[in-house]
Amino acid sequence: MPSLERLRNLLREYASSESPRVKIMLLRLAIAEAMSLFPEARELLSEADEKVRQASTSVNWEAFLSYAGFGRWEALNDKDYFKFAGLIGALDSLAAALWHLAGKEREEVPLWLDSYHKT
Amino acid sequence: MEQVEKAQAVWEIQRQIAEKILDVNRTLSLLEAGLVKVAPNDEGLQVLEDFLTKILELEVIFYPELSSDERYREVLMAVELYRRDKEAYLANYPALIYARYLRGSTRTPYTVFHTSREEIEQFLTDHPEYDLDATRIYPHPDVLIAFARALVEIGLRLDILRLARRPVPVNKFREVDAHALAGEIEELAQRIREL
Repeated sequence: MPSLERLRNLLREYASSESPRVKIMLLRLAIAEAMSLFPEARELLSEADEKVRQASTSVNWEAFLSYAGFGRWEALNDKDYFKFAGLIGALDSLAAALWHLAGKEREEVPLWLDSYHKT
Repeated sequence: MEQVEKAQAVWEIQRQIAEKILDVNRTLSLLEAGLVKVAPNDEGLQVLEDFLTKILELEVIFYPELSSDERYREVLMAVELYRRDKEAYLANYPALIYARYLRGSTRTPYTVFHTSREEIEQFLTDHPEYDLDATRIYPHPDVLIAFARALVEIGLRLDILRLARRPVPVNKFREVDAHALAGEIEELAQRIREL
């Protein structure tokens, strides 16, 4: 059965995972869990799930990894960096909103965006 | 299908999975012993890609209802969960099945918790409500874990080899306005917080 603790576990896994694909899948699982727990938010969450799905299929995450995973982040031009960063930040915001739904503010876990800084 | 036939089918698939895992373990041993080249050249890559093909066959057994892309993500997720924390993985496993159910599976989610044919047969006799089709079996977590461990080893090596010898892809964003999408997600997040 769905539970708040399971929702929180999924969000913790989202925070600690390193793979973009896995992160997105965990976020979608957390949304599915929240939809079961909060039927009043179902429509909004369903809309959010669709947007996350779009993010998962529309971005070339292999390109992302080829920068972030191999120390070539600096090679990404500013325009593309801010596109990636904007999208990742938005997904983090959604995770934070789910934490809020789960009854507490985001725990002290690293944001995805914190992992990638173009200095 | 009669219960006994179902049990036989389940048993047969579990046997196939066990064989595949032995294959994986053998290949990993060869890799560790340096008998299979992992240098970024065509020969080493081909060996690994052949092996990955075998693993993908196994994924079809695990996730027949999903597209290949979804299967890949499902396995990646399991791998990541396991890699992080076995306890968390096991705690979340029912959620994974439930999420798959939410995504539109028309069948009752079902996990094979048994490893012997007799136990499977007994379970099916005790739970006639399950419309079990042997082609839609969810694996025992331990089986999936062994599979996931092998997959992550091979997958990581393949990713490293591929990325190391490839130029950075030029097309970073497919047909999407990343700024607009990010804005829409931010707005939805805000609306959810305001509930």
